[in-house]
Parts: sequence; structure tokens; C-alpha cells
Amino acid sequence: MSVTESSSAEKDEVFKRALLAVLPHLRAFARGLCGRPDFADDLVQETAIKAWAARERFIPGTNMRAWTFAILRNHYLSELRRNRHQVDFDPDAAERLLVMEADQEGPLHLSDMEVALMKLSPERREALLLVGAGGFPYEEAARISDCAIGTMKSRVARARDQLARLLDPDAATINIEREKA
Amino acid sequence: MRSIESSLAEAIGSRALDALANWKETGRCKMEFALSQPPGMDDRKRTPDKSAAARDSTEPGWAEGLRQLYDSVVHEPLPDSFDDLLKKLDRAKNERD
Repeated sequence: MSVTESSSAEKDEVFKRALLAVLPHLRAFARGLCGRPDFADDLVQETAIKAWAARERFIPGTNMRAWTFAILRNHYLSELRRNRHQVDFDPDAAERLLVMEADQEGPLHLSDMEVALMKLSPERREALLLVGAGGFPYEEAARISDCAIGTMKSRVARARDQLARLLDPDAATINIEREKA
Repeated sequence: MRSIESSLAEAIGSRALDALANWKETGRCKMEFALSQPPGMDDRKRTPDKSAAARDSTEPGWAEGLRQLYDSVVHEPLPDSFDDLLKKLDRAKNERD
């Protein structure tokens, strides 16, 4: 094995380790995006293969999580466009669940959060997942979503407001009163 | 005998003089404090817009739920379907080569 081949193999190994390390985050992002564990895991595996095939375009030292999130996001959107895996979601059933929860005292159930997330538009859901859950700064989230930073801020703000209305009736009341004032 | 008016005027005058002296002293102290501070240490500028702690205290309950949702998946063990991923990666590499 030549020195060049050896160096390339080492770089591949470093890349592979970094890629495998972000798989749990890719699964969380994909699950939030599409709401279906089976589809999410398919997306992640396909994203990993795409990332591996494109590894020479990855700049070492940059954020592997952000790079792979962008690949996953683009892959997800192209899958949606092909209508292969439309999310099987019943808004009426979700509404019933949310109304039931609003009448009860107690902590918020994660399943209700998932239902509420799926009621957001794909752009807002993605923005909230990147910034609110994934912890990306607005600038990096905007790069992943291929939009302007102002657009990303606006999407996050609107998503937060909508989610608050869905999940927190008290906050929703306050917001409505503020809007009236 | 001094009239009530003159006594009152004297009293008000002395109070006004005292107030003026206090105001000058206070102003002098403030000026000395400001001059003794290094640039960029102005109190008005030192007040943070909104600290992370303050944001946390005003953060709605669902924001934590959203992070929990994300973290719960992050901390899940990878399903068995991922076992073959390394082989798939190698296969993809060989196909490309």
C-alpha cells in the first residue's frame, strides 16, 4: 500500500467514525421531520450512504452534524416530492388528542408533542427541530435549510407561536390578548 | 423680633442651599466614579439584554418537551437494521471504485 493510499484509508476511517457518531442525531432529526420511525430510519441509512459517497466534498474540521443534516433534509424533501412516503397523519385525530390533553392536569406527554409538531408546516417543523431541539445557531440552521437567516428566524418564531397555541392553552390566551391590545 | 415670613424664607433658603450642596456632591461623586471606570464599563451597557437563565425561566414548558423528544431518540440504541450499514458503506465504496 502506497503512502497516498494509506493516507486516504486513514481519512476514510476518520470520516466513517464521525459519520457513525452523528447517526443518533440524524435519527432524531428524521423522526421529528417525518414523524414515522420506520421511514426516519430509512432516511438516515440512505443519508449515511449518500454522505459516504460524497465524503470527498466534506471539509475536515467543519460540522459533520450540520453537513449530514443538510443531506438528510434534501433527501427527505425529494422523497416527499416523489410521494413515496407521504406522512399518514389524521389532523382530526390529533385535534381530539390535544383537546383531551388540554382538559387534564399534568405533564405534557411526548406523544402530544409529536402530534403537534406534525401539525406545523414542514418548513416550520424543520426550523424548530434545527434550532429548538438540535441547538443549531440560526446561521447554521439557515445554511442547512438553504434559506436566508431572516427567513429562518421568522420560521422559528412562527413555529414557536403555533406550537404554544397547540400545546399551552394559557400561553395561547395571553398571545391572543396581546394581539388584541 | 423676626417675622414668621423671614424665618420661613431663611429656613427654605438654607434647605435650598443644602439641597444644592448635596446635588453638587452627588454629581461630583457620579462624575468621579464614571471617570474612574475603564472604557466599556458603563453600568447601562453592562445590563445584559436577556441572560440564558432569564430565557430559561420564561421558556414555555413545551420547549423542554421538544428537546426531550429529540434527546430521547438520540439516546435510543441503534436498531438492528443499522448493523449492516457499515457493510453497505463498504459496498458503496467498492461500487464507486
